[in-house]
Amino acid sequence: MSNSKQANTFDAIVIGAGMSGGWAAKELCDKGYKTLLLERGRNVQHLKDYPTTNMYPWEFRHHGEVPAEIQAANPSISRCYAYREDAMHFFVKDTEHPYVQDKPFDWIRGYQVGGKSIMWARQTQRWSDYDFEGPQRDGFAVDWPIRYKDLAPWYSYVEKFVGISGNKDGIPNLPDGEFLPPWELTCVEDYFKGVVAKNYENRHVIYARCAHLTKPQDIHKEQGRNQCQGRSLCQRGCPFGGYFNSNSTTIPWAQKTGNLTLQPFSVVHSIIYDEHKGKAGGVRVIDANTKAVTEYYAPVIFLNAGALNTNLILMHSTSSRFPDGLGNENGLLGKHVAFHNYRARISGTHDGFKEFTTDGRRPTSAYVPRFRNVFKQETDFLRGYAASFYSGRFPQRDTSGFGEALKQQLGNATLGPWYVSSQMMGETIPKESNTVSLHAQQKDEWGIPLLRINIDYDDNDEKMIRDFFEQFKDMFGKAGFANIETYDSKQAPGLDIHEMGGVRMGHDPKTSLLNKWIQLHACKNVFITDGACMTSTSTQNPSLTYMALTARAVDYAVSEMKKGNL
Amino acid sequence: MNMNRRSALRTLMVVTAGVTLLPSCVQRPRKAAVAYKHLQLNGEEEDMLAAMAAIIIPTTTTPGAKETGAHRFALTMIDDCCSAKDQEQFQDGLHKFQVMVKEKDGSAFGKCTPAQQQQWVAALNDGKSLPHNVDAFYHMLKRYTIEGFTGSQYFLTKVRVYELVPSRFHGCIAVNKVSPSIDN
Repeated sequence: MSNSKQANTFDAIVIGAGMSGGWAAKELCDKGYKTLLLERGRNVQHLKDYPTTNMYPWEFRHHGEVPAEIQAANPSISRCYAYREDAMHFFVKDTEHPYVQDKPFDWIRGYQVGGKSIMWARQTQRWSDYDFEGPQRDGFAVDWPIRYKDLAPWYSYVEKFVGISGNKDGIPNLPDGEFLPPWELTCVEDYFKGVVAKNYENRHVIYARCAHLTKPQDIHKEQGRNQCQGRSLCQRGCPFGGYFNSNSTTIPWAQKTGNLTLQPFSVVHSIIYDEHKGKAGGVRVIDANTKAVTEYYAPVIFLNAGALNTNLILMHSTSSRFPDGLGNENGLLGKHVAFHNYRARISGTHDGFKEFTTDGRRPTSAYVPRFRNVFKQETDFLRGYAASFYSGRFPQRDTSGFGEALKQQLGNATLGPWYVSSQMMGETIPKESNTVSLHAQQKDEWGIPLLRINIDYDDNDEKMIRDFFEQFKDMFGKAGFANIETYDSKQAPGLDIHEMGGVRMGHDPKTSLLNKWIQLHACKNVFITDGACMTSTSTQNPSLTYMALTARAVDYAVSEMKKGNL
Repeated sequence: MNMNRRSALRTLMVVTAGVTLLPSCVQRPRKAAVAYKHLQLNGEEEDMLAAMAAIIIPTTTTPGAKETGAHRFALTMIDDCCSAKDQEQFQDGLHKFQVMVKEKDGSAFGKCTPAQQQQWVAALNDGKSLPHNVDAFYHMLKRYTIEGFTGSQYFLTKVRVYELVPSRFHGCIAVNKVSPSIDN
């Protein structure tokens, strides 16, 4: 072995320093493995690299708005709710990293250490067997090779470290976890909860569990994080470490072990397949700035580049053994990509509780767990939807007139009525026709083919939207809400930022790419524990599940390495 | 030198003199204080917009649009954040408004008396029988002046306090227990 090869050899390589890659690195380093963590973007250090975190509204040149020229040049990213003046530096502009939309798809990306964990919405609901058993019961995708019991201890493990605020609600399809105290529901959320409980069987309105330190425990203090102060400016990065991101938590933890080599500006070209050993040998990396190519080697590789980029890297990792992409023996790589249907919203007002309001800010809302087709199939569409439920009163200003009268009016805002709203979070059915693939001609500036995205809604999604409107109109009606309005944003897939699949798990190598330990069936020392591995999408936000799957996979990888099996 | 040549020369001299004299007869518009990317404004127009903003939100015993820089914010927003179509409307409405003022009062807005200026803003605010785009021009200016004022440091620290670090959330609190000067 040459010196440079020795210098470039690690015990493990993790590709991608976002939500799940941070966890892979932390777990591997904790277990004593010298780990190389590759990130294609720049480094973002907790506290140091949050340039807007302590800025007041008036300190932003456009008070938060993104200039029109930037929006016009970057239509996809500009549709993202969090792409605002205070956090736009954490998002990839369309023009910086183009991709090909065979059908409209807003691909929301964060190319930096921490990835999208910096700007995520921090919702952390567990999945249940009503999710993991879904494909088998309802006859779509393939059966998940795991069940809730396989993941439950890992959910607990991850939740204790991350810090999750929640209530124990005792709902079978939304299992309880390890919770820090919740924030309060508002009067109207509490009222709606009562209305729903009284009028419907198996429908619940609960506090939405979220990754915030409402009461830091010793482990969080050891991480250097402090109590969440309810700023609700999380997308800027938090000066208190009040919410979980990789930058404040997993990555510095991994660094403290002395086992981590964090390498930003490293664009992964491909995973190298070693024909002699019959497994992956390492990773070919292009320096994002100099374009120099370097190879790194390790006996185990975790691929956590973000669901669609993970697909891209596998498709671009070709060898004589795998001419169609690493581990792709059945031609299913890049197929069955799915997402969450976030198109539908409903809003209204409530005339009651006029003498009450809220005070301060809260970085979460209430949540309505899925109630459709949970225990049995009951509608003409498959699966169901969860929903957020938010309520609050907004100050109302009279902006009529001018002069002293107007000035007086502006200072004397009055409280409007309670405003209520819900957003649907629908499960979509993974279909073979929803694909990502490599463009045959077009390449990026590193010579890597552009990703072609060909993903769309289907009739099941349309039916589900109609049902959401009907059911929520009924529920809002029973609560006596007024001014009820429904809204279908018709937004393209992708804007939900929950793209999943393409490298799905399953029992059978003929119909899936990953086994129950999330190893490639055909290349066992490659683990894929980001959104790409998901067999189906559930309705719950997926990040917590990625983290739990990652911790479990590292535990398995380490035990296999110790046995000499990898 | 025959007469024809002489008269031709004279004509030329007059024309030349006219060309050289012209700039001192018609005042070249003063340059704007700010370099805009899209808006075409001169210093006089800038002053007019500032004066209008100061009438929309006047200085009293407390700061108004002028002290909070609300008019500058408004122009920044119209220049950076409005669509090209909105910018054209703004520009066209602004021009038509200037023509209106000149026709009626015989001078530019800046030369009008304070009472006349007040009347003009009142007429714009009233919005009745205004030429095309003048209404749009005024409402863009007004909307962003209000945003600039209510988003200013003065407003968010002295009138309705914005808290960067609230450190609390009460989900159901009596309205009279909440400070009316706090903007959640």
